[in-house]
Amino acid sequence: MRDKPLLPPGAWSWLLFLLAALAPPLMSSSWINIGILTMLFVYLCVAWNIVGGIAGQFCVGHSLFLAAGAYTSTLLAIHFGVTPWIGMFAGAAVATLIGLFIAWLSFRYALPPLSFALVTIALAMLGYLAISSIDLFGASRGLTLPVRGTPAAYQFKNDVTYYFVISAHAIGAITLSAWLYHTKIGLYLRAIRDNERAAHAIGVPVLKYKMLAMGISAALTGLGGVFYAQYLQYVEPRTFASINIVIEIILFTVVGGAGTVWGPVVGPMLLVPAGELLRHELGGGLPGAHLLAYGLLLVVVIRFAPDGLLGALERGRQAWRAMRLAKETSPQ
Amino acid sequence: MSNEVLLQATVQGLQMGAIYALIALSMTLVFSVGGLLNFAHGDFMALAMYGAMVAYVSFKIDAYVVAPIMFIIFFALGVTLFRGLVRPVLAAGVLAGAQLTLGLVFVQENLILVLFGGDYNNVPTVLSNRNLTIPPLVMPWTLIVGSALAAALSIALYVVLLRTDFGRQVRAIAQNRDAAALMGIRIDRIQAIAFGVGIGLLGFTGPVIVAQFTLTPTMGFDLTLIALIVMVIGGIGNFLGSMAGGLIIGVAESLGSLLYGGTVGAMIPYAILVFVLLFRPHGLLGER
Repeated sequence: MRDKPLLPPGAWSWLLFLLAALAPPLMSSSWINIGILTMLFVYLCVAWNIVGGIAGQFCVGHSLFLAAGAYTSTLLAIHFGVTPWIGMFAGAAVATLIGLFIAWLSFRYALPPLSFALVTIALAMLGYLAISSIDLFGASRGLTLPVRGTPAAYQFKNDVTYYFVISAHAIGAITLSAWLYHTKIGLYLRAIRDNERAAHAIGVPVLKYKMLAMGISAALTGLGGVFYAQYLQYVEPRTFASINIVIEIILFTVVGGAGTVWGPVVGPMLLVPAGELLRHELGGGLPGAHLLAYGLLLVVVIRFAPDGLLGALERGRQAWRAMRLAKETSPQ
Repeated sequence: MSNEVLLQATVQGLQMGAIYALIALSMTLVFSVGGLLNFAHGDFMALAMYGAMVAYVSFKIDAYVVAPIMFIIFFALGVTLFRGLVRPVLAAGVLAGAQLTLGLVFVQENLILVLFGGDYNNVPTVLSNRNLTIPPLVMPWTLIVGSALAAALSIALYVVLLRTDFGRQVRAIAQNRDAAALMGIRIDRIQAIAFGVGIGLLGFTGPVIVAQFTLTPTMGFDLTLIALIVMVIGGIGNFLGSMAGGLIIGVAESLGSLLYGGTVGAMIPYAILVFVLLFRPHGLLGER
């Protein structure tokens, strides 16, 4: 009864995404910057989704991991001349340690999911306030990266290279998350998300797997922070450590479809360019007008597709299939 | 540091604490009937404060006169939002609800930015710049009236929840929604009213305490964070706990910034929250 698909299900998504990853030679320079931002958010959303979507633990503390990566690699570069290509692993390690610590602290007791969100908000706020007042981190002025201008120092002459670097990050993260999703680890994580008590009862080591999800997510986010710092050549608390960026990550993921492999890819790929377009169209007028339109768009999507665009698409496809089936099997 | 200064800071902290308690109570009310964690809570209050600013600048109406009108407007807004937006999304789960309110934060902050710009604003009231002096204390009248009204409303809300049919129905839904429905409680109606009252209280509180704040488009999220902290410290869904939590945070913040300066003072409420969640995960007065 079903049409045989031309390619296996995930393959179409991969094909489209790889095309997007190879697109920059066709883009104008202003679009390349939007493309870099889009790919960065794809990467960050995929990373958040591992703990926030697949494992269902609503973490608002990812600004800490982003900042850990960015500040660690930057401080190593400033004070010890370590290239960010090495510093990025130090940054990811620091982010992972923080993530594991937070996960261990919060998941020792079976706290309700919403109090986990609150613990992570509180820790993120503490981190933000600490970074913006400690001189080692440049306080609220931030830190400027030493200018080297060589690829060996993770600094490139043109933006196309940055685009390819972050696309490679994104491809790696999607591969990891797609692999995780279908392995035993992913099944355990989804079992924890759907019913933690039941998962615990059938012998899933809940604490261990929650910590694992958090550790992976934190490490990836830390690497994202390192990239963002190299791209901006500048690290400061508002961009890297404030909750705003986490809210954006969460909203993009949710609009795409949290807890799926491709939802966190679809969300930012639609919303980041849409946001930039709105800024271009409305930004010249009233300040905030484009963000208002953007916020309304987000609310409308969440209202009509609480499980994300991918969920809505899937429901639409099922409804269409059921309709066709009903037509084929009806007496006339 | 002299005792007088400490006493002054403590009293001021208690007064701010009464205001925090009321904000947290309305958040608890919203949370307890539908499980909605409302990240846009403070933004509703910011909207009401800007409403008071418009009333003062355009019509020369004092904030204290505007407050009851704002209650009615925000009550209607709350009921409408609940029926049209919150209830359908909550049906998909409490996480979807929390995410919706994150979207509302975006909308409200930028609505304020579009309508009023990003400048800092202050709204004077009839009581501004007048102090009550009871040696050794000097207290601004705006804070006295604001905190007294907040405390009175908190107690009134508590009595309503404890003694009236509406209150019993709200608590029944919070305890066991299905059983409440089987007992003939009209869940949707009570939820909508509770949500409306929660938002309406913000509409009232905003103008009453407007003199205490400098208005900026992003002030709402800070208020939300304070309310969240207070609510969690007291034990989520525990009304007495929210009152106690408000006073604790008010005093801690006031003494903290006096003794340790701005940044450390600002960090203290979050640190308290982390400690409470780690060692008494169901709140200071929480059960279970």
